[in-house]
Amino acid sequence: MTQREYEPIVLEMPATYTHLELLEPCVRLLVKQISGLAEPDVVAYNLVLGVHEICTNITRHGYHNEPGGRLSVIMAYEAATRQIVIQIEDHGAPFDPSSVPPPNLEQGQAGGYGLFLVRQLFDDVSYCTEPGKNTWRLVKAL
Amino acid sequence: MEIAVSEHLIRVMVVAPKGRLDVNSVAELQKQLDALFGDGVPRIVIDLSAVPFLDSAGMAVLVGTLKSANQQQGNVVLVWPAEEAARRVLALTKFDRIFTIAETVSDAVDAF
Repeated sequence: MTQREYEPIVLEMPATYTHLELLEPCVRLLVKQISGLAEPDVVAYNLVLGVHEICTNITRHGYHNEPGGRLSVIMAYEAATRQIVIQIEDHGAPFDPSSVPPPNLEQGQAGGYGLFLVRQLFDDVSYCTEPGKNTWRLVKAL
Repeated sequence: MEIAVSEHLIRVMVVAPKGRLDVNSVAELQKQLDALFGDGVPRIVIDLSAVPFLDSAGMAVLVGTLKSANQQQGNVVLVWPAEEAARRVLALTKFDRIFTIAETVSDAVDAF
């Protein structure tokens, strides 16, 4: 019996806060296609939030909220490993994830939760940069 | 015997955003919250029950408001979102340790 093919969803869009709303329907559609998920709504929410945080950071720090920036979000479900893999590419200023300290959860702070959330909500988070392109790769095991 | 009776009313403001609380909408909420300061001790309930999605920008506004209120001897109490996933994210970031979070607006008001 052949394994069902899951087509990746590719979203290429302007890097603006307004366009972030496009992420949720795409993520939910991807999750909807996966059978046997416990709590699919929670899975979808967490995926949306993680990708949203990365895209927000790209817009703010990679493109400094200036017009003209674009980003690509490629979402795929790998049935063989039962993982969701999301790749986010931009062409803005590179970023150093190691420069972001974890937030002080005990006292709370007004900011700095974004990358922490991404690292908590995904099982593997990696970032690489090369001249003209930066790529985040987020993996969630189901 | 002399008995003095006086009534003290504590004013609590309830702010109830409806819809996504994220980088697109936080400025509007911040503006509304800022307007509550400067007129007595700030005691604010932020009712998140109708917030289906909350990002780090939204969380930043909540914490910022709490710290501002504390500086004026006030406080901010939250009402849990109805969305289960959003509740879990607040627990993940230990918001339930730095805020009092109630199940209902009534409980939140009573917390003051």
